[in-house]
Amino acid sequence: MAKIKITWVIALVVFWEIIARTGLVNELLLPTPSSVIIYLINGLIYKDLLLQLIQSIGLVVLGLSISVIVGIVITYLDYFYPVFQGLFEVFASIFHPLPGIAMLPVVVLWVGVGVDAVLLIIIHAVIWSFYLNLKMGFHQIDRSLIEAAHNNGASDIQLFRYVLMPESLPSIATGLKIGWSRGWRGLISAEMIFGAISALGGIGWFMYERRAFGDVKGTYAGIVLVAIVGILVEQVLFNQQGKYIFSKGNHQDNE
Amino acid sequence: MKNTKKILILITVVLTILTLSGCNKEVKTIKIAEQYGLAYAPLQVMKENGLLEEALGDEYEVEWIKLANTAAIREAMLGDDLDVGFMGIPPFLIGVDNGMEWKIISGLSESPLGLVVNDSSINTLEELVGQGKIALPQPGSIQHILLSMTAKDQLGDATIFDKQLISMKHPDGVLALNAGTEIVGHYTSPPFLFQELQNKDNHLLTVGTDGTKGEFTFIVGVCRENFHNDTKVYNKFNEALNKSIELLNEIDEETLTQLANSYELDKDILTEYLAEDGMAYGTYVKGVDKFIKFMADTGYISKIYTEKEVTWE
Repeated sequence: MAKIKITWVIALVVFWEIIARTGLVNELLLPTPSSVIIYLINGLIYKDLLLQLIQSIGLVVLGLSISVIVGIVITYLDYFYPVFQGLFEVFASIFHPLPGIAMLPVVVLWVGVGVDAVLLIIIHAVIWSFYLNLKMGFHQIDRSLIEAAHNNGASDIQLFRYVLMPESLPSIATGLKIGWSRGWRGLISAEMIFGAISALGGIGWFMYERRAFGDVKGTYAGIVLVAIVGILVEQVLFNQQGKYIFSKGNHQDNE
Repeated sequence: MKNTKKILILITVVLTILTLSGCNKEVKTIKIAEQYGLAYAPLQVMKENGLLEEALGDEYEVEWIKLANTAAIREAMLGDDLDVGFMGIPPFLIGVDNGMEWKIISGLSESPLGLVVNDSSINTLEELVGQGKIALPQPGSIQHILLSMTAKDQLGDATIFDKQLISMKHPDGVLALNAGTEIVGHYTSPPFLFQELQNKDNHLLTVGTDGTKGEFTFIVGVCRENFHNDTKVYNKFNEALNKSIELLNEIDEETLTQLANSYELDKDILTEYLAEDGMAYGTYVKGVDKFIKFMADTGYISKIYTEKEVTWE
């Protein structure tokens, strides 16, 4: 399957190159992919693009980490205290379907337009899906394991640490994967709407600025870069890691 | 294998047809794009009174689109989805420099533009350096270029404020400035400029003419060759534009009421705004050469363009 997919990618790029080169389409609408790639490489080596990319990825990683820590805490409270369960379920059903961009006007009023605001958008994008996934993981665990722990006198913390968390690793991996893709989308949109959130601005700002200057190749280069990062992280990092965690989980199950 | 080949051919054909189908379109609907602000008032008059429809007759339909920035106008025009667009001179020039084959049809308005700050301790441009964020519509906008011109003139560095810029629509900028967030300055145009200056905490730090050292046209109307070559429509459009500007310059009660409604402003306030120094409507184009020179010197555009290269007439 992987081979077919790669063949398709190459075929599409070649098709794009041919269409762009025939001159049938205005160059300002569709630059050739080769010129976009050259622009991208130049931008990464000679301009600030690499730093902007690192800033963006760093922000998502930071937002993701905060969300995971807070997410684990609230799922713990949710699992052991019905009061909190009710509260967080209400929060999740209100905020989970709400796109981060819809929160933007309020976020700007609360924390202004700096890095904090973008971070808040990312956390909002990640935390609810992570919480829901983890919660689902907890509830899918075989009851007998939990009862065995109870019978052996395990405290809540011990149950959480030695049964709930390890048995939910596949759900955590799924939560992280969904969280990453939601966070990455939220970040790019926020950067494109806010403008430069720091002196450097991230990859979203790069695209916005290139568009404002009518630099079509630059705009395409930004889109290609966002796509490449998305593919690399989702397909390579999470798929491999997901498989690893999943097999580890099964392995423990068999013991 | 044979099937794969067939499918590939089919997809190629479909994609080609899809790509080509956008290219032929009959010009029966005239699409005009404007943006937000008092500088576009003649277009409001033209729209409200149906002046263009009247001039063109039944054969044509007129569609008005309000877009948030020049990038959107440029893209719509590239996609053959727009006939005439109105914008500031600098973004128009950036388009020309990027290979956009458009030229100026006519000027529309002059207007005061200025940088408003909400911190009373900042009284010169120099004191603003490194102090919080400055909101303006977008990089390359007339507000950005005017700020760069003034910075170059007074501080010797056109890009000194570039790291402090934040891109915001005018109304958002007004909110942000008044809310006292990290935004200390807002480079804007009427009516937002006048509204901000009514707040006692705000004051005007610099105005557009500090940068250009002379009067300049704020908004121009531009189109591509296909619209210009349709002489009949092109002339009728100019006719309707002239008439709108005339109506606005000899404003009567009816036009005033119309405008007050479309800008959601009180009639007295609107009258005051229209009488402010520097507000003027006319088809002349002033100051293009100054923008071209500055933008070529600072690398926003790659070379000096002659007047003939940027205007139709």
